Amino acid sequence: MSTNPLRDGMRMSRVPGPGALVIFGASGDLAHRKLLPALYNLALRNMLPSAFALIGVARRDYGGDEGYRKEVRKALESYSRTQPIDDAVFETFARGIYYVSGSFDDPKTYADLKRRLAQADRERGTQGNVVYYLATPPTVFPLVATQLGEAGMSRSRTAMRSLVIEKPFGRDAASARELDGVVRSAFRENQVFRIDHYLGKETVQNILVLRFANGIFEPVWNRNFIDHVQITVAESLGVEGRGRFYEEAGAMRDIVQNHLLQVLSFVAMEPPGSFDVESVRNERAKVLATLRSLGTADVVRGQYDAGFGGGQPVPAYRDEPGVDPHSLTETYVAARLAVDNWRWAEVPFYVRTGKRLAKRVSEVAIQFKRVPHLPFSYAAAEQLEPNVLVLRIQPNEGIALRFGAKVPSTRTQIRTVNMDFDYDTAFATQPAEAYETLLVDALRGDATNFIRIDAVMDAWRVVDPALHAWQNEGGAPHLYAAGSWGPDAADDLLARDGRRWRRP
Amino acid sequence: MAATVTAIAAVEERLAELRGGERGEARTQLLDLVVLADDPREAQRMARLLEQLPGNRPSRAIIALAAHGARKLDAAADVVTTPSPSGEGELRCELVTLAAGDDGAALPSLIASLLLPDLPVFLLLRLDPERWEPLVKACWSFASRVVVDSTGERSGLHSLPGLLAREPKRSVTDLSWSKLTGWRELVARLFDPPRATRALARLDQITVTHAGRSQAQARLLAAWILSRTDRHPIVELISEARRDMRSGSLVGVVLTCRKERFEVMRVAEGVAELRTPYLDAQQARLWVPHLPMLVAEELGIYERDESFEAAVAQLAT
Repeated sequence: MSTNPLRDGMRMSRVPGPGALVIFGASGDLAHRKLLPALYNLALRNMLPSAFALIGVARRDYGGDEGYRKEVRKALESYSRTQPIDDAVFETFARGIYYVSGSFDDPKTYADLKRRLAQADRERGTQGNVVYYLATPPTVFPLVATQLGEAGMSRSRTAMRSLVIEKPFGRDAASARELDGVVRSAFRENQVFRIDHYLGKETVQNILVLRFANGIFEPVWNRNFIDHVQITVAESLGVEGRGRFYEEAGAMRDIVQNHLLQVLSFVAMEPPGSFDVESVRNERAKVLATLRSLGTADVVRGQYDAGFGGGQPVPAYRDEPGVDPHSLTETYVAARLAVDNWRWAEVPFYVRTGKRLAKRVSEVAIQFKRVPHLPFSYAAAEQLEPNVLVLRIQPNEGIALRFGAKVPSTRTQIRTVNMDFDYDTAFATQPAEAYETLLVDALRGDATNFIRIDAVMDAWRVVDPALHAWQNEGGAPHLYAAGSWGPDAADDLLARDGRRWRRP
Repeated sequence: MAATVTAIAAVEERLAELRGGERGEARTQLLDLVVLADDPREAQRMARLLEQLPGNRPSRAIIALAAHGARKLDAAADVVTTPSPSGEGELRCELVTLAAGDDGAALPSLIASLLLPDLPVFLLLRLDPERWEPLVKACWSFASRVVVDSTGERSGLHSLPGLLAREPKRSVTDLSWSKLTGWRELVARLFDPPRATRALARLDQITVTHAGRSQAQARLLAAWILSRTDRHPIVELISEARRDMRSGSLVGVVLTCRKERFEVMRVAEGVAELRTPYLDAQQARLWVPHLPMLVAEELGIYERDESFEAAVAQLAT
């Protein structure tokens, strides 16, 4: 770390040190929609070091650095959350942008990249620190990692070298293990940053603050007081032209194995001794290690049929472009998960995700047990629902608490009311995009919000039995109308336990 | 005394009336802001500022105007509403304006009774704390954080050591210091490369150029550098007449380390050029926010700033 005495006590203390970010797949959708806007917005907030360089690598020929800078500008104009683009900020940012055109399997591409990194070091003072970001299709991950290793670019005795890998990390436990073997032939585990952008969301990170910075929640955060937990990641959109990709993925691999299980780990983890990288990751990994593997009896898969989205008729999944008309790919999953430890014994975690559901919402709902004895008449408390604490991840990020209150009158009548905390109106600031947070973390070498390999493997262990059963035992997903809350079978899953899904 | 009670009751009644539209909804309360001013124009300017705060908006702001001579006690209440950043909600800030004569003697008790309970209280001084010592002293007990602005003429760097030494200790800051955040970041960047860090140990001159007469920011920046290094360099402050810049704003900083020059020069609004012996010259964004942004930034900070306190201590030497 720097011993620059002027750095001590700076307000902008999260600004990363000098370094270069290399994006493989610089011409792709992820780079254009997420990474480039995130970097620009960091520059806008003065969160990038002046000794920073961005090197794009892709096959497409943009006509050199200047051509790629123009492409970056176009991407920002289309996708940046802040508009219009600030010319002065962009000019400064663009001076540090370089581009290497080449094929990922060609050693010459890596030789060119090495040269451009040396140039960036000379011109920008990046001090040899490099973060490689794989924003490519997953099939290319092993190739790039191997080539970086063979070119001697994956390690340095004096500088930071790390590799950021997008999800999905494998298609199942076996392929994840295989991919890890290839990656680890070039990079050590502490150099690998497996990204799940959900972990960069302000409201997901706030789960830990809510739990561990407040005295009132943790004492009741256990099987003695919590009846069950519901985690929902619902999308109102369909596959939006990504039919071919989705056919290979499905909701289980796309959302459950990563986003949902990671959010669950935040909700269920034990308090870490400190907030250093490994203490937090250890506790999250322990939750995944204690999750019971999913049998088919505890999971429901669905696929959207024709229906309505935003008031307009929308086609069935099988009629989407790029989708097999006889596809068995699930666009919806509901599951009943069990965390086998002292704190959560017999507290089910119900998770669900789906496309073309009634609305776009991601939330965690902690439903508390009813009071042991209600000293009011049935009529007075007829409509009283159990207490629920809702952590809204998106949209309208916030927290809501449901409780019973007396209706003002001369008689006793109880109604359930919601008390709502809303980030938007409370702090009057827009939270940073998840990719902004995670890029700063990666550039700073802080892996707290990235996923360690043991957590990845445990997540696959949980979902693999269901995936294999669907593949080997046949059967078809339950159909549900687009614009609904999923198939009836998902309601039955909870009804068996005497419970029902919340309507978010 | 009867007038005070009437004023509080009237203000609370008016606020309840103004809240009528949101009755039944829970409100999230963040902080109380108390502004002490001695100039009616400044008090009005602070009231307008509330509408422009980009974040950390107080739940209740009390703007208290003090006068030395006789003056009728005035109290009024209003609610400032603006759309939330997403446009989906509404930000509400209750605004109470008070005015009192007799050195503002009645103001502290009025303010104390009007504060929202159990919230941090930010005391923004838009008057000279030394000239209004009894008033500031009386408000000190309920303040969690005290913010002054030494660039303006109402207050100056001279008041800072006294405020920092006052018991009980409070988190004190100066908007002049906040304005330097971007400058400090860029000056620090000059010395990030290890060779440059080593050069800093040979620092023998600091030259700070500023616009207009106010030296507050220039002196604070030089004091900060001195407090972070174990050197006794020559310090030179140069004033430039600049029509395009506010008085006190910095134009450039040069640190000389045995003939090696490390420079941050403002080249345009929001842009600076960094020059060091070790890297090509490069331009960087220079974060110098406008007043609403500055105040919002300060309202988001609760803890003491040891770098600032060390810089102020350095000023005294």
